[in-house]
Amino acid sequence: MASGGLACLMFTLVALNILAAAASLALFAVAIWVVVDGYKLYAISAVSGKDDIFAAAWIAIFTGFAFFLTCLFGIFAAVKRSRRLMLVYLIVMFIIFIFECASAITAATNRDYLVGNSNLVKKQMLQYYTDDSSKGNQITDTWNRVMQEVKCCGADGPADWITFDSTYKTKFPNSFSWPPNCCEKLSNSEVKDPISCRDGGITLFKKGCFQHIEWVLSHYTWAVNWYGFAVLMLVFFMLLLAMVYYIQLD
Amino acid sequence: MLAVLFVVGTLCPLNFAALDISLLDPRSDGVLTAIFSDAFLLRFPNCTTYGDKKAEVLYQILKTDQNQTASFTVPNCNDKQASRGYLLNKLQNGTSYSVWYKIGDETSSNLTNSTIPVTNFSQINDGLPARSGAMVVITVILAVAMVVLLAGLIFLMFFSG
Repeated sequence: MASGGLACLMFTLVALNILAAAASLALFAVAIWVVVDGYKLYAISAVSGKDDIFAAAWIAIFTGFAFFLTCLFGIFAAVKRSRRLMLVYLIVMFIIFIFECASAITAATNRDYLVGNSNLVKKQMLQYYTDDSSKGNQITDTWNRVMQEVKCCGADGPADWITFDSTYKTKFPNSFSWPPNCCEKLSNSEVKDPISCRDGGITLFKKGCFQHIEWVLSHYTWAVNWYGFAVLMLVFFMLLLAMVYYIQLD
Repeated sequence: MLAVLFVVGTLCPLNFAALDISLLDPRSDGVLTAIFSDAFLLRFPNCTTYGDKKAEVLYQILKTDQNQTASFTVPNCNDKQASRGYLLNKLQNGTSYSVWYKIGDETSSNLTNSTIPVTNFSQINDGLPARSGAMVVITVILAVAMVVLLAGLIFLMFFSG
């Protein structure tokens, strides 16, 4: 290839590497956001043993940063016009590419298990809410917070507590038909209107919590899988170009 | 005619007024449901007629002889803090009951209804419901991309200068 064409290819490769470096740094940041779990719903995936959304985010943290460093190395290799350095760059990028693919696929797959429908979340709630085990404590704390913050009750609604038996009903048979956190509370954590709560009146939160839980876990998943996929597609075409550049180098 | 009506009226004292029994209506009474797995939410007798009076709820499982009783005081019409209805609880789930009120000499008609049958939570199927389209698309495209890159790398390493 004429030297003008090669120079053009080199500049294109450098530009794409700069873009990929920025994009992978953003992937690193977004994966940190997922791992930090600002909505504090990790317990719901951990207790069921299906926390691969967060495992995928951890992988994306490392691959995002690794992509960033390797892209910088790629800029150096392209400017040096070194075949050996370009080969090292291609091999390392390919390895990171595989790991990032694993992360994106894992996140997408695991989301289907967790929030494909409300059954898993509902069963877990009925089984572990107010249970004395460590899983029970995690689920109880999570659900108590979600119910009050989101003003919701049950997975699909308060009727979940009536239609199914639960650890809560077994432990507290003489209490309300649903947990007190399903009702409006005062700032001192007492139920605002116990009679209205007992009767299912206006102070009972009537919407289910699954919509919120599904929203959060889906957004965590999409941050890792769809944004990871976008970065991978950019890197894919950049690597094809890098292979062409490698072939053209003496 | 008016005289006849007055005479008939004096022969019909208030304790012949109908004592009603019914469940609360979720739509008009603002409650989630009146039927639970272990309780019924019954509308209180009319507070104008029966306010502050002692009332009894008699209930029995359908087709059995065992009568049970619970008592309460009908709330006053001015009591704004009162519940909308009487919660008849400690019932068995998935069972048909016959319920009626008794205030003094008056007895209401029978109300027959069933409590909600309870399902064990272990029967909920929490297996994978279905694969989403996103998962399939991402997996297929990335698998193809990985194969193309691998083929390209192998070509580069073994077949090009």
